[in-house]
Amino acid sequence: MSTFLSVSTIEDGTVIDHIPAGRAARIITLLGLDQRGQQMTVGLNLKSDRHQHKDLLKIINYRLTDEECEQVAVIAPNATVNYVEQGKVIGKHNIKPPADIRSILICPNPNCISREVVVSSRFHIKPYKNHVKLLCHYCENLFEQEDMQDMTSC
Amino acid sequence: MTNLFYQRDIVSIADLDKPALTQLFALAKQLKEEPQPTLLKHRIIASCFYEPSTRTRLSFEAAALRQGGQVIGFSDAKTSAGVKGESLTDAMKIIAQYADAIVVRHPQEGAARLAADVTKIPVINAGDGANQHPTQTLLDLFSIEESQGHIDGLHLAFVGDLKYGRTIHSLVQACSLFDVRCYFISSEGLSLPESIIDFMRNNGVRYSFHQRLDEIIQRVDVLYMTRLQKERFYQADFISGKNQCVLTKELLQLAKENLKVLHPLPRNEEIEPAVDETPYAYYFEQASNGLYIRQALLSLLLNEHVEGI
Repeated sequence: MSTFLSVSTIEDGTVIDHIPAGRAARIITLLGLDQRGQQMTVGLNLKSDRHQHKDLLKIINYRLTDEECEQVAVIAPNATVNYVEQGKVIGKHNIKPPADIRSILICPNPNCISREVVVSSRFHIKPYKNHVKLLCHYCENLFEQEDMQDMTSC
Repeated sequence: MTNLFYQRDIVSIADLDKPALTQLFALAKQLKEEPQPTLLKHRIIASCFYEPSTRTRLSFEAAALRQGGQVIGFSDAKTSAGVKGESLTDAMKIIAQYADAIVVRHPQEGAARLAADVTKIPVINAGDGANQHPTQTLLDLFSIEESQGHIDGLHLAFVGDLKYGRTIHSLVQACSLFDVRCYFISSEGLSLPESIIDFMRNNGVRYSFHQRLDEIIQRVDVLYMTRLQKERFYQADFISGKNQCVLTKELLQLAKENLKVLHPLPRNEEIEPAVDETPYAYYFEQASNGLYIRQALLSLLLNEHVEGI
């Protein structure tokens, strides 16, 4: 049986595994990893035990903060986050979505007051079975995370 | 009993629970029977209407004045603040320094929530875009209870513009606090938003969807009619043609004896004028209840202790 490794290992950093296929790019954008020149290796549509396919993200020489782990959980609630040092896993972070998320996302409702005035957006996270929905604090509309646009993409 | 409303914001019907509604309705009934003209003495209510309103604005202003309060404010966005481009946030912070409570209507969803977040005095949402109109819901529920003697166990039908009708959205949310069965009838393209359906499903509200009024009229205790909200339509959602769910006097021959017809008004063609003279019509009593509900609400928000509660 082939032991071909789809994504190369890293010595030090963070491994985000079990990302639903197609969402790794969203995580990269949301965390601004590409904007700050962060070195990464990415696996897309890899075969998975848990799902049919998954994405995998390895961030070199960087440890995600607690806040960033919460943001990952909004996109991929069932992902796992492992911290790696000298090629070995030295810690895991059980991620779970925060109660709410501010500033980063834009409300998709074009008539929401948060899109016009100088106020931080705010969404209450509503966990569902394998995903989350986001309730806008202001207009009270409920959105799928796929509907969301983040501030960096404007 | 503790006043469950003192110094609170009333932005969304979702902020209120059954004990709060019970307390509010009890005071509204009391004030309807026995006015208390000094409950708001020395209080100033700021009436801030950024879009047109007649009934709601006058109802709030009358509610304040009839209980000894004073009213300041404006009735459209073309005020000096609006012309100068002052932000909603700034305007609310300043007005909160002049008044004891703010009543705000705004064309954008979330405006009242923002006003409540940036001020320390009670804010009442008089309508924010297509989102909420909680005091309409409160007077609707009060009218249902008044006309039927109770709310639990009732069968309620909602007819017309379910997509943009904020009065229906709020009323449906409130239904989750009671044991009711809901029926929805709308024209094509005006069906209930997914978020409201989601809410009902998650909160155990029994519901079904129908194409025609005559499918369900014989089953319901309350018929809540609405008009097409043309001013809320976006270009992509514009639908030509009339609301096809029209209530006629003839249709009422199928109705239960205790049926009451409610409507948030103003109405167009969805209720035939001949219905007005039948014992089923309750929409004018419903409108008058707006005064008592708003009197009760303002009184509870601004008085820690209210006699009889």
